[in-house]
Amino acid sequence: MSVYTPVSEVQLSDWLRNYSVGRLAGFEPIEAGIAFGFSEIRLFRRIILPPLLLSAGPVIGNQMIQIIKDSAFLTIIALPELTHAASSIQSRHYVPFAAFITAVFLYWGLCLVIEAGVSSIGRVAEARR
Amino acid sequence: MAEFSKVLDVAGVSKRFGDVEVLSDVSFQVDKGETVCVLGPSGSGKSTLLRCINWLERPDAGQIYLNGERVGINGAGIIMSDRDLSQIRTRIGMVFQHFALWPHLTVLQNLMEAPVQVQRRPKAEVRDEALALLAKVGLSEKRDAFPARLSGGQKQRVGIARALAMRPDLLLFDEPTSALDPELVGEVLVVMRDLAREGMTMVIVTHEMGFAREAATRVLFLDRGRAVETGAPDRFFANPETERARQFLQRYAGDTAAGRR
Repeated sequence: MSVYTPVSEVQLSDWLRNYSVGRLAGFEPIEAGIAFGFSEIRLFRRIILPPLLLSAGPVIGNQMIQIIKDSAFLTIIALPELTHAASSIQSRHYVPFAAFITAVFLYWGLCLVIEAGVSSIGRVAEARR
Repeated sequence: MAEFSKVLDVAGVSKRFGDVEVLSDVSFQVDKGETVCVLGPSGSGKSTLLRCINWLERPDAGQIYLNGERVGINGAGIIMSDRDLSQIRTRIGMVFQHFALWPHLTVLQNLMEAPVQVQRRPKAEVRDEALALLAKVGLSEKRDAFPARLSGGQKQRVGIARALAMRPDLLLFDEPTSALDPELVGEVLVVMRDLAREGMTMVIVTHEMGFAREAATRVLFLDRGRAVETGAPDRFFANPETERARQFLQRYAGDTAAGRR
């Protein structure tokens, strides 16, 4: 995957950094955690991380879908993944359409699964907003 | 350590931010069951003083003792480990101006989080106590709501209950009603007044002169980082010793008369 995703990873870490800086700078709940005696590790795990993940959920989901799309459209594929499998089926059985359409649907299915995950995170986050 | 009826002893605390001396040589004591209101103009160092007590802000000089035990500095005279400091902080409850509730947790979870995670008390016991505290602040029906769904007054009552859930020796209030709409201030003051009556030991930074006058056992007046005056609220409000306190009170009286409070 690393061949196709360097940009995405940079973007993702950038997004996360922006989220953490924008959302958490002067974030009183963190101070409350310190005042209530949370240790650094527990503070991060129990107080800082959950809201951060909730608010970064859509970004992470979009990035993942982007990664899947990128890997689907690239022709040089090093990993044995869907398109590769489809093209080998195609070359063996001479049914190009069926194999690639199946691959398309499988990709779409993957994206739908991620979207469903993202929207359920979104619902959890919405209740807390 | 039976000789310590003093819950809090602040001795000569100073703090500067860069060139600005925010606190200079502030000393005061709080006995068990006392309600001390810290008054003073904005920028007089009230909040910093409060934050120095639990070492959210590290004082540059001076000592702070909680029930005779030094806060922030250990027996060897060096800065405490985070662990020891955490342990002391669990005994000092704090109520914040902007509530500072944990947004991803429900009201009940907010109350239970620190006692269970930090104090490691049994969950069932903490839960019972948390439910009783919610009933006490009149928010039993909101136990499963998230903080974002509460009004300011309700949030602050949860904030107070959350601090009480730690069973603290001392409760600090940092302008607990300053961020509230005027019509919501009353419900929070009622809770605080009840606590004062029950003998909770509290240090309250506030601009609510009416509350200070009626609920405080003692008033501490800060001006430009100095503890200018301290005394019983009756005497302080009726007949302040210092010119600064007189001016301060006059301004408040003027505001009240003009209906601006």
